[in-house]
Amino acid sequence: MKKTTMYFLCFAGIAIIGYLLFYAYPVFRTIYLSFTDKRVANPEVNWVGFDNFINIFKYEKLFPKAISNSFIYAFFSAAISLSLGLITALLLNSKIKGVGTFRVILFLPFVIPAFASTEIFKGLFDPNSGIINLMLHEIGIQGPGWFKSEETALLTMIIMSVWGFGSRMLIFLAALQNVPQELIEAAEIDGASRWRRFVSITLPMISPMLFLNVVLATIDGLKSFASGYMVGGVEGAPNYSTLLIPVLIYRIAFNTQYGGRRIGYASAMAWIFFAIIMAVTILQFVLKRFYVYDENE
Amino acid sequence: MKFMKKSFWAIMLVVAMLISGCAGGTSGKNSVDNDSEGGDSSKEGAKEVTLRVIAHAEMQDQLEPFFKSFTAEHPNITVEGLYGVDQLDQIETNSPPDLLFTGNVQLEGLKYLFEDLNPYIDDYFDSADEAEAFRKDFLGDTLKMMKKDGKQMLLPIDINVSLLYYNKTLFKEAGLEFPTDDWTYDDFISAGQKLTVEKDGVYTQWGCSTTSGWWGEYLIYVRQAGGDFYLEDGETPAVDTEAFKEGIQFYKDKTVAGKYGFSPNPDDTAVGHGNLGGFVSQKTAMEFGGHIGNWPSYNALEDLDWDVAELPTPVGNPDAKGAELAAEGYGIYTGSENKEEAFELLMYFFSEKGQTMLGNSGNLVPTQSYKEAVLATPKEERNAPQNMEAVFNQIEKAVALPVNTNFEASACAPVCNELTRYLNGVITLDQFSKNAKSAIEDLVATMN
Repeated sequence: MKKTTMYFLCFAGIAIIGYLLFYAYPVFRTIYLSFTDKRVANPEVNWVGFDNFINIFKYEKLFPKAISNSFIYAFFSAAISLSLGLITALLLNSKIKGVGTFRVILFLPFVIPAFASTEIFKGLFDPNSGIINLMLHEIGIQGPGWFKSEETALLTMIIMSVWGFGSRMLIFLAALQNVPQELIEAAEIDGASRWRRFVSITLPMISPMLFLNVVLATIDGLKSFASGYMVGGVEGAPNYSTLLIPVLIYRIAFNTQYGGRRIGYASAMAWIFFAIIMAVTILQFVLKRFYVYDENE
Repeated sequence: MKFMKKSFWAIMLVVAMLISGCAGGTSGKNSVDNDSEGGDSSKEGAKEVTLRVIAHAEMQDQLEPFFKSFTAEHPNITVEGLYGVDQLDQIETNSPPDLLFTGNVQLEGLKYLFEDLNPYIDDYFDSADEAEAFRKDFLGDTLKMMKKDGKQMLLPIDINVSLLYYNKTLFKEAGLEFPTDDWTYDDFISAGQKLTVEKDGVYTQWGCSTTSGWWGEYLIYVRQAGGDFYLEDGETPAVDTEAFKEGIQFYKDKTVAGKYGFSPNPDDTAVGHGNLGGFVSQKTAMEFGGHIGNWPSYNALEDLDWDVAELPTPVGNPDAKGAELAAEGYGIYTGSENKEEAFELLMYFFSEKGQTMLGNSGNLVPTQSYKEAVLATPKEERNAPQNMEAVFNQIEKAVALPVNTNFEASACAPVCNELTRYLNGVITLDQFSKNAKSAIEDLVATMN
């Protein structure tokens, strides 16, 4: 064995074994399971071909509902958190006193687990006892049902998700600090307005990071679990308005109450969901050329 | 180079050992050491066994001394309680428990996990009469409910029966007589309305709670109205029958959105219309149906003075049956390597010591012997609930839940989701029936 190969195996061996055991094997196993009627702890496993996939499209009325919810949630939470992330990054990129403190404060929510922050928000948005509706009640306005109303539950979840925009802000901040100052100064000397400088120089220069943020925010939103689970439970209450796809998959695979933990069926759904995320990501790569500045072109 | 090679394989070996060590987990715990000489003084040469037993987390304090007591009498058997652990995960990961725990509602879907206990019961007793006496000691249909395909899958150690729960303090404050076992819906409605406190549209006390999210309350009204969850074939959902609708109508009438208005709407979004924390909050005077599993938490609240009565019945139909009877119990896992010992422990639950321990843990042991022991204590000396006569009478009048693999999945989300929409005024009663039926049928189609 070559010395370099030996070094490679020594240093990467454990990681490779871990990857194969805990990532690759489960992934390939779910492919197999998706073609079976496997239920947890049931020794009888039958090959059912494409039945699980067909049943999902034919009978699973919650699937399109959950897909639609996940897309609405991902789109709006990504749009809002990206906008806020960019605005705050632009503000924090300026030379003002105590900027480090502001950065920490704005990033802090990101490190608070979603389960904890959602629970706090649930208290604030409780239609009966939450401080928001109580304040509205005091001034004679009947507050909305927030997460308990079919019409506003998903919107409430989107509002709650904005809380974690700190990570987007950090990526934008890093990108902004790499924008060549000489370009900005040259434009300033030429009399370009602040807006013109932003649109013609800053935005193109940070567009690769904007693209990265868009892709990450979309995937994060689509596979979001904690907020949906905490707000609507496995039921996606009220009336499935908060049911996200990961929650639906979880409920089928791990909740005994919904038909005996159907791992095979849930695996099929997970693979369909994977295909959808893949398609969205490919689409984003196709659209990349319309808004991402490439120095080499 | 040689050193490198040796180091590489040494590292790989350590990694492999670590992985196999992790993966092995607890799989070896069921192993039987036939060569062991330690332990059993009563049975020479008896094999050393560790039994793994699934149990609710909250029972740990009661079960540990119970298991120790069992081990003292059976020195070759040690018992490991798996508290709050998912038994299906344990089986799936090759570390199965010997004694599994489940309820009659879930049994149909899990019956492949359980050993038939009948041969063990017959072997355990010296004569057929004794075995028969043991079987007859179980109250009502509780033993029969744990049977599947003629096999005795479980022995019940706890049951739930629907009851009318009431807060004695709130009744006294309102100057009302406590509910009696012969109450009708009229008595229930009248008391509920008198006990509901509302000012300027803000409710500060409810006459009764509203149970949503499962069948605990609505199915009682449906059954008392003469309906059931399934038609006689046990397969076709009966949610669109007139009796079902009649029961659901009463469920709505009872809430603030209905004509009697003495219980909260499950998801009312107006300020001052919330459920105020339910029966435990002490701002709710009654609970219709309830669950015996809540008794320990009710008794943990020092200032909650409560008791129970038999369920009120529709006017003119005092014999209407509707109370749910559900049971939970232990069975032996088919893959257990220690079935004889597991059965020995299972029977220990039905000894006097076992039944006392179960009772102290908040279980209602469904045996004649336990019933006699409970009723032998004068009413005023009992912990809440004192009206245990009502509990045992209600068991006799209760109806077992439907035997259908899909019942639990069907009776919760699909029905309750539409029920909430109906109570919120989003859909009509007919739409509720239609939507719920369609949701159940779609759900069942994906499960088969």
